[in-house]
Amino acid sequence: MIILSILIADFMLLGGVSIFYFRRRMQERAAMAGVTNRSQEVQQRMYQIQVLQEINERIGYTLDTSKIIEIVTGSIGYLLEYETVSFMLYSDPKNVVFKCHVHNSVNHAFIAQVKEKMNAATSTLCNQEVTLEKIDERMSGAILDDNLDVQVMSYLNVPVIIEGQLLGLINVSSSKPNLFGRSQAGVVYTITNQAAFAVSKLQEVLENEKGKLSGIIAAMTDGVFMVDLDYVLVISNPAVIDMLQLPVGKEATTFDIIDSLAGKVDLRTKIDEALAKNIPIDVPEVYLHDKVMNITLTPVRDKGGDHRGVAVILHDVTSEKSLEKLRQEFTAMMVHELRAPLTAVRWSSEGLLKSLGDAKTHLEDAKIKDSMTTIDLAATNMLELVNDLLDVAKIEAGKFDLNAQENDIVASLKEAIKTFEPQATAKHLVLNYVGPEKQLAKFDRVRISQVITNLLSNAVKYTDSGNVDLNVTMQEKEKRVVVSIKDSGIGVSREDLSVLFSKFKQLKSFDSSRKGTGLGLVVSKGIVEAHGGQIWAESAGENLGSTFFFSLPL
Amino acid sequence: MVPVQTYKKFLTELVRRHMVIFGPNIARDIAKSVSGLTIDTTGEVTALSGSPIVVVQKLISLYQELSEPVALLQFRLLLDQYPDIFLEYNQPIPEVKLSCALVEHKS
Repeated sequence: MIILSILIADFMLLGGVSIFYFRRRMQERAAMAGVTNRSQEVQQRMYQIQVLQEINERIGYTLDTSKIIEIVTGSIGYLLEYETVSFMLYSDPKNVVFKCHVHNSVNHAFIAQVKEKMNAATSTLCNQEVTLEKIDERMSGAILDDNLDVQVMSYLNVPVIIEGQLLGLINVSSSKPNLFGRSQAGVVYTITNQAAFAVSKLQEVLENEKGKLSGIIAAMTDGVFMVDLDYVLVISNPAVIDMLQLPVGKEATTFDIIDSLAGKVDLRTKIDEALAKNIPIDVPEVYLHDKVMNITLTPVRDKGGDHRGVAVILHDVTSEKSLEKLRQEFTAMMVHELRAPLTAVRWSSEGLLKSLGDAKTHLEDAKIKDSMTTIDLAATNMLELVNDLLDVAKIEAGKFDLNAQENDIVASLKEAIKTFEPQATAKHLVLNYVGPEKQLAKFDRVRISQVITNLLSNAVKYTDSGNVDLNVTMQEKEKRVVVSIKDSGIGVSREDLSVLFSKFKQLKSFDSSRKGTGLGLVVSKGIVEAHGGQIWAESAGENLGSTFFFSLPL
Repeated sequence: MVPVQTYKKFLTELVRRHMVIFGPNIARDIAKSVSGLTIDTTGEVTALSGSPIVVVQKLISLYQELSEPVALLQFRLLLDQYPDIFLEYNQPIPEVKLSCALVEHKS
C-alpha cells in the first residue's frame, strides 16, 4: 500500500514535472515561431530598405525603365527561391526585350513556359491578345540543359506601370510548387510600386522642366526644330510651320521640312555634314516664300559627348536684308544729292576762273552774279542736306537739345506763310490761315519753325493749283494744340502713308523731278517727338491732297 | 437583387484574371484571406457568404495593394460584362488609365 502510494506519488510528480516541461516546451516553441515570423518580417523589411536604397543610389536621375527593372530583379534573390527571373520591356513595341537570368539550370521548355505566362499576363492586362512578333532575347546565368525534366510549377508576375503606361513585366519562376504566396512575394510588389512612384515623380519634374523649355521654344520668333539621328523630328516650334508654310494643324515631319526646302537647300545633306564635321553649319540667305532666311545647323551631343541629333534654327533676315538694301539706296541717293550741287559749284567756279584768267575776255557783271548765285544756291542746298543729316544723327543718338519756352505758335505759322508767299504766288497758290490769333505753347521756336517750314515747303512743292490751308486748334481734353497744313496737291497713297516718316524711305509714287531726300519729315518727326508731341499725315489717296498734323503738349 | 450565383461567377473570373496577371499563388492567397469567400485551387469560388458587395470590395482593395491600376482596370472591365452587379455595386470607381503600347490600347 505504501509502495503503491509512493508509486502514485511518483507518477503524479512525474506527471506534474512532465506537464511542466511540456508546457514550457510548447511556450518555447511558440516563442521560437514568433521569433521566426518576426525574423522573416525583419528580413523582408531589410530587403525592402536595401532594394529601395539601391534603387536610389543606382537610378540617380535616370528614367531608364530597363535599369530600374534590372535593379529590382537583381535583388529578388535575397528573398525568393527561384529558377529564373525574367523581364520583358514594352517601351519600344517594335522591339520587345526579353531578358532572363537563369539561377538554377532549366531546359528550353521551361523558358518557353515563362514567356507563355508573361504573354498571357500581358494579354489579360491589355484586354487584348498580344502577339510579340520580334523579341530581342537576352539570356544570362546558368546554361540551359534539355536533359532536365523541369517545368514551371510556381510563378509570379509584377507589372511595371509608370504614369499609366505598361512599360514591362517581371516574372519569377520556380520548378517547385506552392511558392510565391502573399507572405513571400508581397514585398516585390511594394518595391516595384515604390520604384515606379519615384520614377513618376522624377518624370513629373522633367515634364515640368520640358514644359518650360517648350514654352520658350514656342515663343521664339526664329524657327527652331531638332531631328534625332534617325531624322525623326523631336521638337519644333510654330515659327517653323509659319516660315516654311507647312500645313497648319497637321503634325509636321522632318521630310515635310526637307521637302519644303527642296531646290533651295539640301537639308538632309547639311544635317549629315553637321554631324560628320561636328561643327555648326551655316546656310546663308535662303530665299523662300518672299522671305530670306539664314539656316544654322548645330550638332546636339549628350553629356557623354555622343551625338543625339541636330538642332536647326531658321532665322528670318528679310527685314535686315530689306534695310540693308534701303541703306545702300539711301547712300546712293545722298551721293547723287551732294554731287549735283557740287558739280554746279565746280562748273560755275571753273567758268569764272577761266573767264578771269583769259585777259581778252570781258566778263559781264551779270554773268559773274549769275555764277555766284548758282554757287551760293548749290552751297545752301548742300548745307541744308548736311544739316538734315546731322539732325537725324542727333535724333538717333538721343542728343537733340531743345530750348523750349512759352511761344506763340500762330506767330510762327504766320512767319512761315510770309516766307513762302512768293513761291506760292508764283505757282498761283493761295496760302490761308484759319484759327485763333494767338495760341501759346511751350516749344523751341527755331526747331518748330523748322518743322512748319518743312511741312509748308512740301505743301507748296507738291501742289500745282488750289489752296494750302493752315490751322491751329486747341484740344482741351487731350491738353494739346494741333497744327494742320492741308493742301490740294498730289496726295499720298495708303502704302506710302505708313512709311512717310521713316528714314531711308523714298515715296514710290512721287515723281522723280520733285523727289527729295525724305530727311525733312524724319527730322520733323524727331523734333516734334522731342517736344512730347506727335506728327502724322492723312490723305484720301493720290491726287486728292493731303493734310499733315503735328501736336504740341500744353 | 443579383443572384449569388452571378456573384460567384463574377468573383471567379476576377480571381482568375488576377491569377494570370500576378501569378496563381499570390492571387489565390489574397482571395482566400477575404472572409466570406472560399475558392478552390483553380480559383473557382466554391462558397460565398455574407454581403457579396462587401466581399467584392474587400477583394479589390487587397488586389489594389499589389497594383492599383491593374486591379481597378480588371474590375472595370469585368463590371462591363456584369451590368447587374455594376448597378448593384453603385459606388464610384476611380478613373484608371492604362495604356499598352503593344496593342495601342487605351482604357
